[in-house]
Amino acid sequence: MFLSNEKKSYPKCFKNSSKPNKFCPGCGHSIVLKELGFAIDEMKIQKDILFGIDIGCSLLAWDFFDVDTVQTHHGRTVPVVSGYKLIKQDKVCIAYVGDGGAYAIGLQSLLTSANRNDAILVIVVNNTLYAMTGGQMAPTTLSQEITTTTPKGKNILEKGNPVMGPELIKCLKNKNAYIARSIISKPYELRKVLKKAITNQIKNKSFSFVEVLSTCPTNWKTDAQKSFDMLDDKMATYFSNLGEI
Amino acid sequence: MQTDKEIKILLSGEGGQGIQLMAKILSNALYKQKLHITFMPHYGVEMRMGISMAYITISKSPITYPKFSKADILVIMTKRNIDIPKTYINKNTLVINAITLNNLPRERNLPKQSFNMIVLGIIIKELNKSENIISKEKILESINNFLSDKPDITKNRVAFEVGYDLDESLYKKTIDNIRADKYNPVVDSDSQKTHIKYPDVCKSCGFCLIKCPVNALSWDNEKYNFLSKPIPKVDIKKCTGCGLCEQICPDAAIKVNKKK
Repeated sequence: MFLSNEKKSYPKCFKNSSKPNKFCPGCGHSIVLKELGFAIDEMKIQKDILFGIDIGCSLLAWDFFDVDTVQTHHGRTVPVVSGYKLIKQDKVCIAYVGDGGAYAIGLQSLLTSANRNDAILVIVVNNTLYAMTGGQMAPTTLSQEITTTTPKGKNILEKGNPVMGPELIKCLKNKNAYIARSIISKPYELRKVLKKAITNQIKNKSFSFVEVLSTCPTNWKTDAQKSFDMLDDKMATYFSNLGEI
Repeated sequence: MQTDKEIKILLSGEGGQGIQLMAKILSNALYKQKLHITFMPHYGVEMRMGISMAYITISKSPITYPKFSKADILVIMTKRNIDIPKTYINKNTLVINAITLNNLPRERNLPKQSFNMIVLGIIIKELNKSENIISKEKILESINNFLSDKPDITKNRVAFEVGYDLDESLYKKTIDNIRADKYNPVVDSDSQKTHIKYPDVCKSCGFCLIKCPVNALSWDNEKYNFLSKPIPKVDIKKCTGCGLCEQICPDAAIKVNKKK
């Protein structure tokens, strides 16, 4: 659509023919992937990447980067990527999943992988609901949040508290693991966290886990201002532990 | 059009234009006429901004397969990705080019959303040209069934009548010359900085307007992006060239250069 040198604000590892990307206006996925692209560029590891994506909105990144990409069954991105890592030890393996894929159907794979200390990076994009299917309640849905399946607001006495993923993995006491939480409203800090996580995988051959708090204007039914209010006030208040955990 | 053979209709448009609703209303009304009919929706996995198509086949005898490679009636409602519907044209295809009718709802004081009802009216008129396949009243009945809980149902009926009575010269145009729009970068600059915006990737999410610390950005109501929505415009005197808008932009549609 345009020449690659025309767009200097793009990371070099972006696949230009697939832009404009398939995410909704204001989707947090685009910001996470942009910062991941810059992190890959700055570390010069584009040729070594294996990028695994899950079912859900994360699968719309199938042609986002000009890197090797694999698309797996729902919740099975982490085992596929760690299996690949067993064969190709010199590759940098990234599993890119949503909060439904990581904390609901894929939790068991995620926990065992963290416990085994597989040398992979898992990025979880947390937008508090199942976005692609129309905004149903997910394990991370906040108290009193209105979704399609909780029209009167989520009652945490009945449905349980929102899952704190990084804290859960911290309980496994894997000393080498790099576990962090970040937020899309601070893109530069997000890039630093991602770079540290990739470095941990390459140098220490250890498990890295990054949860990113993200927006979903389509299913939250919010405009730009209200999306940031929801993200910076409600989500960042509950998931208050930002940075390395 | 005659029902001795199968009549194949392909509707193609933007997600959100009401392609699937049009197809449902049409196929429901034809089914009640005791005709054989198949309707197959076809759209991507995206929640927004996808291309939406509907395959409809009408016949007097049972239909074996719902999809087809060449259409008898092709309705085109968007310029984006126009190369895909173009492959369905052969020499017998009747092309209804509804792209040029985009401003018609505004001219007739109708809501923007009733555009699909205008197009539905055109389709019914073309179907009934040589043989009366379905009467106007049956379609209006079907519109009532589907939209009975909507407040502006009368406007939809009016829009359908507008399409039914529309002059042929307005929509029967060739689409060979239509190309997807080109969007050039919008550049604002002064002696210290340049602020470039790319309408071919901007999606008008508004994140840059929220993040600007000096409120230098606002909506530009004259320049539009590839989704026909306004793009941000910058007040270059207020802009300090900090680059926060470039950093937060999800689609990398803004670039700020500060000269040193």
